[in-house]
Amino acid sequence: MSTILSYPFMVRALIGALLTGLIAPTIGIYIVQKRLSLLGDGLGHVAIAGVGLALLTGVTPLPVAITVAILGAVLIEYLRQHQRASGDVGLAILFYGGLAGGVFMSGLAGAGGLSQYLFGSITTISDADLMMIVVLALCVLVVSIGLADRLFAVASDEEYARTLGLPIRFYNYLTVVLAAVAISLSMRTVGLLLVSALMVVPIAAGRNLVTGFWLTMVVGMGIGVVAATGGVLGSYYWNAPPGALIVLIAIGVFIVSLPVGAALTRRRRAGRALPVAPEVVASPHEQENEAGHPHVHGGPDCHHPTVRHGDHLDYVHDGHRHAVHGDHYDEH
Amino acid sequence: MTGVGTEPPVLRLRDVSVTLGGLPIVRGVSADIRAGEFVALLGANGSGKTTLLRAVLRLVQHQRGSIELFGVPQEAFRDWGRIGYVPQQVDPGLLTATVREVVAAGRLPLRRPFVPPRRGDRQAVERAIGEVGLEEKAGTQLAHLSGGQRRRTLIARALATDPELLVMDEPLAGVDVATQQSLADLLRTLTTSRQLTVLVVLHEHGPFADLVRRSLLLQDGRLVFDGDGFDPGLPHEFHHPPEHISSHNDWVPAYPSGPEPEQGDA
Repeated sequence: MSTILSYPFMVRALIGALLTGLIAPTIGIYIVQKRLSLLGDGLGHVAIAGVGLALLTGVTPLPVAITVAILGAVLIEYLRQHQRASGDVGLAILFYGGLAGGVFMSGLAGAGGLSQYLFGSITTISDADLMMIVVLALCVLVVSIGLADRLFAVASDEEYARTLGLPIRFYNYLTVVLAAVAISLSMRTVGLLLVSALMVVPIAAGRNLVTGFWLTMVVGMGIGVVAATGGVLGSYYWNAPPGALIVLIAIGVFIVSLPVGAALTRRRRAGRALPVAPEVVASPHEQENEAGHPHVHGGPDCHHPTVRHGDHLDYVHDGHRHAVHGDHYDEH
Repeated sequence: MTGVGTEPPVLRLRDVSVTLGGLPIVRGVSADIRAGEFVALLGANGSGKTTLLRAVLRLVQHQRGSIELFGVPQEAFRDWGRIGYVPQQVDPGLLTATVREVVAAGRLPLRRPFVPPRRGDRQAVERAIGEVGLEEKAGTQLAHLSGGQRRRTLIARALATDPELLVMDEPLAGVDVATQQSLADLLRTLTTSRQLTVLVVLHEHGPFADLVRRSLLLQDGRLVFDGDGFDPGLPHEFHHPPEHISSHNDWVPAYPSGPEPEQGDA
């Protein structure tokens, strides 16, 4: 480890990875909440056009990519808010146009280095890049955490947030602009083609493991940091693009979170005392069938009140509600 | 306006009309709602009652007439914290949040951006959760709650604002009879423990019958009845004679004598 840290480029790469791992899930939770998981992917494509433009004109890519991605984000949000019938097709054209334009312009520039921006590259972060990443990442963190209550209220229940008098349109634009900045900052670490995964997958894994918005956000940030720094370290040893490894680690954590989360849920359920009154168990059933019932619910001699519950009816019965499921009754 | 002093009405509707997609949904509704009233907004599906409610909350734009909230024209009104809104259903986006997180959103009009919740905010949230009887579920996510508990969460969220006007959209729709009764009991407690003016969209009074002091009946977007004692859920022979029938509508008692199976409104 100490040898790795003796290389200045690795120190810069790890700081970049740490910040990317923190901010991508922090914005990702709002994007997931709005069910716009693919938005990050599209904004990454738009940022590629910015990188191509920078390579063609010979300026520093990061600021150009950020500017182009923000413009793209504002346009996307405008289309979404105005719900044009052609909006969906418009988004697709914007995304593919960004990718194609970026590849074409970097080809014209004769620079072969586009893939560094698509899948990340640990050796290419300059001091100037790092300074910009640190400053902007801190801005993104302060805004997305400082306004978390409001951003979450707007992302999860926009109509109610409107009745609170919150400036909905402003917060919607703010969310996509924050996403555009976070995505552009991630281009040297995880890369513009894979950054969306770092926004979405840690949040999905966090949801499996914990309950609630805040805990999910914190756990998602932790998973993001582990994946991003782990991917950068691994790419040093295996000489692979860091982006691929970062995403594979995040997906690995997600897969592990599935059984772990299920076990945690079972424990939480079991730990909670079920409010089953003893008389429910002892209620007299004269002629019980195999399922413990004198009649079949829903049959002609069933007089229990019914409650619609999703795709089936629950039967209110001795103070509890249950439904037929195969050969037994599920408690609801 | 008689004998109530100079206090402006909580809600004043003057000739309010709403057109959605070229169709007139609400047509020239006028009414005043005063502090402390418990008003039911009744009507069949498509009668415009939910649309009128949404116009009051600025969720749809009214094309004609004026809406005043606490004496202030809606366009200039900024104190949205004085109104607590209880939607009909939990937005799917809320299912992964905990009860406490959802209820805390109700404090947002009273909090500044970038400032963490103060002690008073936390206390208001816990009080609201306690008032609806969900203390033990405060840390549970909404996906794991029953329909009745989800509705209580939405009521607690509205209460966290410390509202003066509580606006509810069909709180009885889609829950079983026992839950309807317990929600009515909850509202009865709330209206005595808090100084609340209530505007509630209902299909019929049902378990709210002894709470409702005044009914506004909409039919085809027009206000056809405004007074007490009218419950379209009861058979017609139980109706008191309407006290007021709006002049531009020949009201015929065509309203069905029971709730309709479909939910939702135009």
